[in-house]
Amino acid sequence: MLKKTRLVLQIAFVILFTVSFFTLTRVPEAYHVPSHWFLRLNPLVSLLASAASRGIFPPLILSGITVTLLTIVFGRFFCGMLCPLGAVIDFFDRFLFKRMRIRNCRPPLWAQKIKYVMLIGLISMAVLGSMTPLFMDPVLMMTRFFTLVINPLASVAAEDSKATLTPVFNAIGLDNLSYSVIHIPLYYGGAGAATLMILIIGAGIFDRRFWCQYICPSGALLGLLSRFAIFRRRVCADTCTSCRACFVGCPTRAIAEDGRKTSTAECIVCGLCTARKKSCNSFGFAPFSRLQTCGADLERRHAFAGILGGLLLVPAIRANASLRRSDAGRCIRPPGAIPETEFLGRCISCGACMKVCPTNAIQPCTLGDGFQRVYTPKIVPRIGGCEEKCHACGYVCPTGALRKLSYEEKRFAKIGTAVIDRHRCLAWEQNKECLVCDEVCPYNAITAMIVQTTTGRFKVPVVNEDLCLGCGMCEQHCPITDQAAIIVYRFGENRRSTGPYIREKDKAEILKKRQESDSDIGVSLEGSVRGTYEEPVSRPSTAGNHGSEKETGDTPPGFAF
Amino acid sequence: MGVKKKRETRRRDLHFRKDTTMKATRRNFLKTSAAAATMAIAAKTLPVVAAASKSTVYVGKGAAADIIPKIFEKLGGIGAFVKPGSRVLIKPNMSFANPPAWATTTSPEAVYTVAKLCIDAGAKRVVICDNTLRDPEQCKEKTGIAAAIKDLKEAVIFVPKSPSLFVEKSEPKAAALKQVQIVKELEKTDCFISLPVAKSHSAGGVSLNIKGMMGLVMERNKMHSDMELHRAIAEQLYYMKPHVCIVDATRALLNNGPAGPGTVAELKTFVGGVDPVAVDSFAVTLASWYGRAFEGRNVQHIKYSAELGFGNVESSMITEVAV
Repeated sequence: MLKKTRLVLQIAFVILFTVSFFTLTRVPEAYHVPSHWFLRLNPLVSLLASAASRGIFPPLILSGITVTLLTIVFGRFFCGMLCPLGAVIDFFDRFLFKRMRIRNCRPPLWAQKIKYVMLIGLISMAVLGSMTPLFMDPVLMMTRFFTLVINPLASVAAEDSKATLTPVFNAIGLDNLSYSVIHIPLYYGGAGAATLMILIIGAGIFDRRFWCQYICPSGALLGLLSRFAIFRRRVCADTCTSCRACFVGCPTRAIAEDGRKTSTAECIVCGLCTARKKSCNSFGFAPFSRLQTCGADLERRHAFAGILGGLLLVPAIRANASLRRSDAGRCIRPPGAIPETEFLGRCISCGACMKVCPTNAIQPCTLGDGFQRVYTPKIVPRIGGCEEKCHACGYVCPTGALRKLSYEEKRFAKIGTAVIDRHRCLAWEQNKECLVCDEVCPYNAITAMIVQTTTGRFKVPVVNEDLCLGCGMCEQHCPITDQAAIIVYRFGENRRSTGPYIREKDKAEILKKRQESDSDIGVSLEGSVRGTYEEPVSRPSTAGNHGSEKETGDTPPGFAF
Repeated sequence: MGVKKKRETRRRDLHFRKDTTMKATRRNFLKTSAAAATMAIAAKTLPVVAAASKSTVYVGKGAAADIIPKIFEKLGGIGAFVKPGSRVLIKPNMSFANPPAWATTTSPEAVYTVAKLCIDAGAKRVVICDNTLRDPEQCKEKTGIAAAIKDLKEAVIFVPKSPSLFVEKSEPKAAALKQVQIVKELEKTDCFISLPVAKSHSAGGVSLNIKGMMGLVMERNKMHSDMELHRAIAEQLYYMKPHVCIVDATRALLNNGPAGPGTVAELKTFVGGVDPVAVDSFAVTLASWYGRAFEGRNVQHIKYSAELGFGNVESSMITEVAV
């Protein structure tokens, strides 16, 4: 009974997870559907993210508490039913590794304690303000794997099959299908995520539920919480013959060899034991009994080992140069990212923001950005700019590392500033008519100005830093190959952990600045670019633009007399 | 549908095909080659032949639903361009995810009206095609074009992004744009209607029919970096020439184009014709760009297009007909 119910629920949740994942899209406003709720279920995520960032994100805490309470009553049901990674592991254990399992390489029973040591290590790290979300939560690992590996593969396959099937579509009169646009997101770091997943699943060759039994720190926390679970395996002492059927059948080695005692810390409530023999044991509500249950066999030294490991790992992670001011990489965070230290404590690097980003701009950080930052989101403007009318990443972030922003607030959540590399710019250096950056800028932050160079008067782009939000559209579209001639840097970014992005007194000032610098094409700018170039001394007001133009006789770009 | 009826339809289709396509007989081959040779000689020796005749532009003020059908009527009826069962490609401006009021994209009403006209004339498929600068889904949604054509079963929005959807073309006569990848769909299309919005452009001066055709080109960056931009824009006409050009000046973006936001003038005007250069040249005179009045020939890419013999740019060679 329980076995079947669990199987049905497990399959249902895997489907739900997959559907949730693929509904994580920008269009049409699908991100308002809380499809990222799966990521908030794990109490360990709530615990570590709150501890490491020293801040509380209410939705995360609430769902964490809910699952905690349920676990206290029902045991590790999360691992057996909800966890999508557990389901995948079960699938491969059953259909691939059952026949090819290497029996004599099963890890010893004490290896189950490794996960508690890991858990304690992670908690002590979080208390010290560091978090390595690389493998703390199976749900986030699945989401990351889906984002970085499955989704790109699926999109590429879809695009290819569309191209192949186009003649078929045309033949059967469904040629409108061949006009559909398939968004193909591509990411850095896919190989790493895939390797991790292959290792986790492939460990099934040694033992069933290898990951869950020995390593998963989330499972460890849930195991500790379910010590006094009242929904548990009950053994009828009279009918039990110690036949070892339950002991052999248990995938997580939660049952003692005599079959009478169950470790609530290891039991994932899968019901395989009770399905084997019904007369002697069953699952149901029963009061706590020391005779029938035991918890994790943890000793003081294990806790010590964990704490010590955590204490040692914190400096090991922090003691690298990547958190210094450095010229290695540009780590432009998506709009609404909380300040960097808190961000590193809060971001669980699940990749939901990367999945939802319509322009593929949000990419995972790689090792070049520092070990702590691996898989956390950054904007790579050369791949895609941050869309003006989009704030999906903040809406799908499960931990509040990216804040929800209204469109208006987003106009104040500056993520960087564009800088023109004048020596590589087509207009500045080669005097070509380009101005693509001006063309694509959604905020009018780039002005075409006419300047006197040694070779004549030319129209060149100039960035108004007061208007620029660092979206990177200009960098994306810059026609210079390889590195763009207009580059977004992180300086000028506006990140707040709490409080509104728009503060009334700042707002007036910012808007005034924007008003002042919001000028049209045709503003002329005196000075020589090469040699003794001087910054513009006067910027005529908007009203006077056209007047000044006539004085110099300059025409806007594209026109000539 | 009965079998008999089906057969009849097929026969009708065959008949139609016979009318429009030439059989590859020797006589036909000789005829066409002779005609082509004459034309080639004429084009070489008399580059002004095409420009010698005046171009007509049709200008009307009012709503898209009123004016656009009238323009087509004057041009000889939509039937002259769209045959039953044919495929139509409409090239609007939908490169930016901005509302229509910003005048950075073609008004949805205009797109709807043209698409509806084509479908009513029997078009089998109307492809509304633009290689957008910004995210395709956002552009479709925010410009209102997707919503406007939702009810038209035959109309479909096509945002080509993948290189497999483009075809490489080259033209030895071109000085700047010697080769270009244009959208493959054009090869299948029987009628190509250009339907840009009237707007200023930071590099091109104005963006109308000729500049707008860059929306069918894959690698536009090269036109900025490797070529003389204005000439490259003009030389696009070697590769693709609209059968009908209609400038949607319902609203015109007078500065800060092409992305806006800038000054928008509610002109409520449509300019139509078959000569893209003349239509563009006339549309330039509709408003003052960047606060100044220009003639068509002041816009470099329009001037170059005329010099290459694709149409008339001088106002003296353009007849304005009110509709």
